[in-house]
Amino acid sequence: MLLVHFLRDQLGMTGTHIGCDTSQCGACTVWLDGDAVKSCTIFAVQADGHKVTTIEGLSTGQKLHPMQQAFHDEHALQCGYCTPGFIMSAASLLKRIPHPTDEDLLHGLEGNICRCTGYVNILKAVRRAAEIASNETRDDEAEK
Amino acid sequence: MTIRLATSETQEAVREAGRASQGPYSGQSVPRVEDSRLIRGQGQYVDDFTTSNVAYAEIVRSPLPHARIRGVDTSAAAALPGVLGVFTGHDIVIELHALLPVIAAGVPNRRQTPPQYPIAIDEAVYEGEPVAVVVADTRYGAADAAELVAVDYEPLPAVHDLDAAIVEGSGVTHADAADNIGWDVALPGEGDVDAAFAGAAVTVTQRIVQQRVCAASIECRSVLADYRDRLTVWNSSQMPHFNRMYVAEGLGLPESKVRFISPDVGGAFGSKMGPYAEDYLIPIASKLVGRPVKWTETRSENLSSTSHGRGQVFDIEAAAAADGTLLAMKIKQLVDIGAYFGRTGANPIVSVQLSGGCYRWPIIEARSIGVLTNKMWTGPYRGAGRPEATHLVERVMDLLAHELHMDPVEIRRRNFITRFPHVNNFGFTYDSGGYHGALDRALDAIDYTGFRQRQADLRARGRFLGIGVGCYVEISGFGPSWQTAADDHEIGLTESAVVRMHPSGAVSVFAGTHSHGQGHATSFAQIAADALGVALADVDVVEGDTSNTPFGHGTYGSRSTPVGGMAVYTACQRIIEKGTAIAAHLLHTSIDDVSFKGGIFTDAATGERRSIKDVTLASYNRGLPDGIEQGMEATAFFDPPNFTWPFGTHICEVEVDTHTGVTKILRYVAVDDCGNIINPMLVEGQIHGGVLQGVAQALLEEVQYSEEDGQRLGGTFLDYLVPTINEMVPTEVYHTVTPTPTNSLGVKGVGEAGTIASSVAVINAICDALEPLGVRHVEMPASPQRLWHLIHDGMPAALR
Amino acid sequence: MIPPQFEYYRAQSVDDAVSALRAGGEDAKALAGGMSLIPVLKMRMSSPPLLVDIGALQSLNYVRVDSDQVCVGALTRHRDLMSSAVLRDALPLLADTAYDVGDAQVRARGTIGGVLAHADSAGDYCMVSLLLDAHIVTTDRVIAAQDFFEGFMETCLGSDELITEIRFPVSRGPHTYIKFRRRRSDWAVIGVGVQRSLDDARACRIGLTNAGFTVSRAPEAEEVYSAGGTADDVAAAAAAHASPLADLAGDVEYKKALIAELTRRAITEVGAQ
Repeated sequence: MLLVHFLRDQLGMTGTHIGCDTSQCGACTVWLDGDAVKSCTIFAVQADGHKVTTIEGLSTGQKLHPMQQAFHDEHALQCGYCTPGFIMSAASLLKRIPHPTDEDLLHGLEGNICRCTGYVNILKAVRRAAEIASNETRDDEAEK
Repeated sequence: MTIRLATSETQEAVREAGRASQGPYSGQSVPRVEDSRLIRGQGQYVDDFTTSNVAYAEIVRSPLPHARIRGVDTSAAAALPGVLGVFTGHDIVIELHALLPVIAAGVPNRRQTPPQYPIAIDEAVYEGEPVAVVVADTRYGAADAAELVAVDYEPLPAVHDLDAAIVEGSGVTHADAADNIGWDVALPGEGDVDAAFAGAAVTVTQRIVQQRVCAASIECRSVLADYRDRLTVWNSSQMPHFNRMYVAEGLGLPESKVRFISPDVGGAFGSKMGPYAEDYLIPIASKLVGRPVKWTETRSENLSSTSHGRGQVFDIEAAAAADGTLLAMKIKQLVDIGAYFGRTGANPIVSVQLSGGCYRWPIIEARSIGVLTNKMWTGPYRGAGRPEATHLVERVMDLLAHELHMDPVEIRRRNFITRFPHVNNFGFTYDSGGYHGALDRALDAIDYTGFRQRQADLRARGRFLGIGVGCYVEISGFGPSWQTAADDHEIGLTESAVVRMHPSGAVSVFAGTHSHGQGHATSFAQIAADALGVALADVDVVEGDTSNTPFGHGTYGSRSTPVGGMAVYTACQRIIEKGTAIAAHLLHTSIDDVSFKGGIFTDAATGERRSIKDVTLASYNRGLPDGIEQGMEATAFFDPPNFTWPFGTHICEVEVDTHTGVTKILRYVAVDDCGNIINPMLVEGQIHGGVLQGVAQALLEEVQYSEEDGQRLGGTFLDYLVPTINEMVPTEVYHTVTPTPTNSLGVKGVGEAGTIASSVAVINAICDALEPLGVRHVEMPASPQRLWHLIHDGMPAALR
Repeated sequence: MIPPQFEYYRAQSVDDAVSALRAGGEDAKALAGGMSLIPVLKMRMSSPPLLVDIGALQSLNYVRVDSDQVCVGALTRHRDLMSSAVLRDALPLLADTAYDVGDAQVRARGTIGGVLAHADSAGDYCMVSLLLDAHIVTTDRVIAAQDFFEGFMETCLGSDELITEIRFPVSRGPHTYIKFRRRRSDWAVIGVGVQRSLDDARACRIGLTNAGFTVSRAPEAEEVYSAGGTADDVAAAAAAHASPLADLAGDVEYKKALIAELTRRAITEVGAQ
């Protein structure tokens, strides 16, 4: 069984979506041990013993993850179907590259397809999330 | 590398434009209320739903475009553990009370409408047509069983080429048909077209092809059906009420015993209108196995068996005078219907009816031929008829300008319609417009004059830049029932809303439309909150469930705001009317002395006030004036007097790499006029997405078929090239605001606008870039391979 | 898309994997990152009775430089290659190639050994290994890259033979890999890789991706280069001797033009480094 079906059908965690057959669209993106991967191209059994994080686990209680907040603020979603996968990819990207260039963003987000937004606001949202995160880091450092 | 996105100045201009509307919310970029669940993974799309005891269906489909079915052996599949049933066409047809509908509007005088069953019985007529339905207790079991269904096909020749298909004596799409002509309609022009051509200074002749494309919403279609004493169907659809009406008929059930729920819908772009075969097959399967059954389309199925868009060919002749004045146009349209009419209704004819664009044409003479082929049927796809019309006329304008050695902007200026209302060549009335204003704004934004200088400089250095203009007027707000109901047996395209104020003063809006990304939960709440003078947070918008929303036609054709939004607005007005009567009673004054503004009823004489909350509470109390029933709710059906006519100008700047044939978009300016703007942020989002879809048709996307045997080539996201973030167009969004006089909100609809002029803006820009190399016209998609051949074929090898 | 049923075994070591594959018979398959194999299973184009998961064998995930050799473990992932400082110093062409394989999610899972075993003529590492005369170390033997790729998606690997390591010569000279794609994350329509010798400005290797049934070298073009030909001369030779296959992305004539143009650019770029 594919990991995505295990999450959706066995665990009832339906925030992770399926949008293609060939590992292109990225709607099924989750984190495996913290790395963004496509759960339609991993067997559930391969994830045995590893940590899987889905969109449902990204926010802390009512507090949104900065990437979720940025997608909302910048109107980076319309139908919302690609959104969980996009957010998981983008949040993973910022973990590895906190101050991404546009090339980093284009290179890091090419594995997610959105049919509604034309990507313009998605790019804005990820840039904004990076800014928020770096401001928070600065604030933390100032407090110290 | 930095990608330049729309500047804050642009954003401000959008917001400024939106302030034309009344009320604290309308005209504001209110953040979307539906986002909260969607960004948390709490959205609920059909496949996310489950019920106890649910079973799963897999559909066996014909791999051939045309074949006789000699037999279907289901025994091995049926023997697999966990399989609940395997049904062929012969099993399904017993349960069927009516065929799939043929939507009649707009295409009179059909020559033939092949009867469409939801499943092939003895003949499969397109690749992807259902041949058997397998139901098992798990998804995986159903897939395993489907592989074991053995179908004995006798391949038949496939009809695929439009020109060949209409030649007398050609092969036929359906074995028992006489020919492939679905319709052959003449739309004669007024006046002597031959004389106009004879007297012309220049004429142009061109074939223009609108290739087949896929809508490719990221959520594929899905159906979950639970057939008990009533039938409940969860269905990823733009129009649950419409689908219920047809499916109830198909299953022989009263409409009242059938409930359709379209929950969150993951994009549609016209492709989820339906009804589709599976909307019948899955409820029938549920009935036959006695359990709820779920089916979810794979992407491969989506590309083969969800309606394709466009698929039209135009042979054009156009004539102009020496000063650029348009004289006449002749159009022959071939529409690739596919194997069944499906949703191939009015929209192909719209391509012809709007072919005059923003211009005065003394005569347009047209003929439209609908051609049946052994392919999936074509249906509406974002823009549905308007991108085709706009692409056609804007190519023609450039071709004429080229012949006249005139700047393409100049010929447009000389022929714009400037007086409104304007009745176009096919009897449609453009209620308002301001085409010069939109064009000027776009030219200014992109610095057209400056570009021409840069272009000349760079050409001298062997670089090929081009600029393309696309001006458009579109038809939106479908639509007035006097123009959309073909006859007494059809229903007109009104839209509906129930607005209910609860005793606490909170408001529920139940609408017949169905948002699938447009953001109605926000924009309709803005309309209602402003109309009733309540807080936005107190308004909840409900759509998509036939059990609690009034009959509506759904969301398509850029109709939700101008028709559905008007239904919401009208229902609110009715509530205020009733509230005024109650307020007058509470204030001990006459109705005429009570005014309403911002949620407050005021007695003009005394200045005494009652809030709408107080009045609502009172409305549920005793002691109401005579003739006034309890409650504060109203139903409205809005039947607009006319369509709405948004317009605009898109300009695109490209550079073509002549060595590889690659087109790079350097800049893209969109000026759209959708009238008053309820939520500028949502409008801008619609433009961004629409532009990229049009650009993708121009550069990337195409459903391809073998020229030899009509077999579809490719069929996954590996080869069907949907743009990624790397193909993003950094669209600069501007607006002019010309409120429509057709409705009280002055709103026109914007869902499709971005798509309409974008494909032609790109193609005109490419033709402009390659003009020095002798390229006059480019078909879509302008793939690197196609452009390379256009540039190099016939060029001496030494120069390549 | 639903893969067929299969038995699954997670190998504890390379030896364990080999014996499991041997026990599983000829159709058993090794599963590494799964980026090539799982889509094939989902399409039901293959139905192996047993999958032996070698993905957890961390011992095969490394990049080491031994004097004149770069040794890459077969299960090293694209992202590890792209961000390996050791690799970027000793064999930057391979690091650059890894940077543009697939997309971010694929790079986090896919392995170099998996790409080689899949042997797609559009497989970027297949071209690089052929270009540099890499040696492919398996559980049974050491195979020269030129002997490894046998035909369309075919290698000389036995059914119970696993790739464990790929050995490349250290190559610090000017280099480039230009991939032509319709969309950035797509497979190459045509790719041209060039590696010039650090010491000898007239010695360079040219490799072609997706220009035939298998990845290929362009020896005629290399000769023109070493004989002092211009970038245009080299490009013409590369195109003249290539046999690309027509597909949806391009006919033969267009693909030959691409080979010429990409070669010209690659040679020019390398010349400028």
